[in-house]
Amino acid sequence: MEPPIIGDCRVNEAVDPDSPIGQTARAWALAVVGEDFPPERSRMLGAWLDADPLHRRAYEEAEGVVLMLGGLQGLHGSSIAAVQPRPMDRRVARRAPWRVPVGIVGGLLAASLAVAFFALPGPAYDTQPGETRQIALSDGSQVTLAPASRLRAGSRWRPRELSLERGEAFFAVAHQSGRPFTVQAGDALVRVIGTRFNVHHGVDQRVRVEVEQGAVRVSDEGGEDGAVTLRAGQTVLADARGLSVGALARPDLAGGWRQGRLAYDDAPLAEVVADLNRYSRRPLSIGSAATGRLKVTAAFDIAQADRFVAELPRVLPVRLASDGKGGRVLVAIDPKRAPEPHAR
Amino acid sequence: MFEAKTPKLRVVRSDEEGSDRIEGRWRDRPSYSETYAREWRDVCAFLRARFGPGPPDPEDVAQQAFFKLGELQGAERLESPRAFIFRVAINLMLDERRSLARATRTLDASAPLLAIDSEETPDLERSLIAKQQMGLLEKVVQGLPDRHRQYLLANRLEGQSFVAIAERFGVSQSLVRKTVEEALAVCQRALIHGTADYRGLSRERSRRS
Repeated sequence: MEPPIIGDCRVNEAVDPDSPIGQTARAWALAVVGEDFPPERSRMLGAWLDADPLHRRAYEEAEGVVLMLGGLQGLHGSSIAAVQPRPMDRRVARRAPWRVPVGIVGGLLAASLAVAFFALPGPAYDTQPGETRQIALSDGSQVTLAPASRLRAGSRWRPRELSLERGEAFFAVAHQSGRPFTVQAGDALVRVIGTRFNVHHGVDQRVRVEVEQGAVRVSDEGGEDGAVTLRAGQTVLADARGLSVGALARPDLAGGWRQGRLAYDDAPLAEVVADLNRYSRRPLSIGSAATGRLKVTAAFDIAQADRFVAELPRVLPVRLASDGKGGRVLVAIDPKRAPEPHAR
Repeated sequence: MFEAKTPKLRVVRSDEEGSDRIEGRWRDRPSYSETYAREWRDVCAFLRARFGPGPPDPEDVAQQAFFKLGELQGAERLESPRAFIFRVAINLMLDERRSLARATRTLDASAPLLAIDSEETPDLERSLIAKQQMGLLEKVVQGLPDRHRQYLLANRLEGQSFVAIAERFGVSQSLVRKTVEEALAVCQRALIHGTADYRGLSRERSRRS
């Protein structure tokens, strides 16, 4: 067997990589690192290696270069960024001049194909009310999708660009340097390299991010000027007033819905009701926008949601009525006015 | 009820001071035992076919590779666990055999050796050559056409299988295999001749385009 060094004093001994044996050896060396390699295949490889000393030498040479290529990692991390498909950024004029036209034609064709692929929507993940779903993304990241939520991958080209179209999700992002992970929620964009965090896409474009692990820089429309650094156990609420940072009682409370806990700190009733509807098939609505703006501070178990709703009239100026369609409606109690129209 | 102005939230950067350890050590993650269950048989069978029954014992070497995977922090992972296991196991095997051969030679200079280190290149010279070759390899890879470079690095640096690369780039698995084979061939020729030569690829590209 050879050390992974060829081309020095043993130039003459290297098996021609373009000879039939050299080609077969290369195919074997790559099959090991790129394809399924069950024991049956190993036995075939063993038989081929044992058939001729030249086979073994050719294989070892190919394997040596394969291993060296893996070592490039330490030399330039930028290569990993270059691995990302960048269909709009084809550099075609890099090779010898006589080859450029071919490169341009190939590049344009590849670019248009790439644009076609880019345009294909990625997979969408939906959950029904009451259903949660665990999603393993192809990059190794894990998503726990809350009930009645929809998560969509930007495109098959960009598995790390997700959009939380509605609802809530907890993300455990696999670290990949140079490949940011983004979550779009309404107009809010969450961009991370690798961390564990929860995104809640609520009503009135209120977006809440809770960080369980890692540290994130958060800025709003003002850019870096108003940026804040969020660490594990911190939460930020982005709404029309801007960003407000708060603290979770414990970092592991981030995405507490996964353990069946819903917690609200001065949240609009409309948001609480929207969340409850994601867990229950029995709709709950709000009589008026003004009622929806009533503030709620509460923590309860999802299993106790009905009890929580029944208790609301004790803490808020509301009462519970039927909406006439099998659902319930929270109606404001205003002593100066007649009951709202839908109240029965 | 809806405000006209919608908030913009942007989390620009994370993992400050390496504080984004994803899930602690690999050994504590469910994917560790999954990898173990899935790859153990394959890697042992491969080591046996590739290097024979030992010494070193293929199972011992595989065990060491899994131990190293278990010691990794979640955030350190860049390549797939399968690629990590195979890479580390092959390297361990090569290192073990190299040092075994040295020891054997020291004990009995006349003993017929495994073909290891037969040219007796001193370590310093060897590492200089290796450095030079890595430099050349880096240049060769940077000069590859985008498709060849992307697929090759996705496999070699991220440990992605050809199936995974095909999925990621929306192409067929056979195109990925062919492309990586061509790219590797360029690297092999470059190391033999000491200079980059992309001719085989341009033919391939123009035909395909």
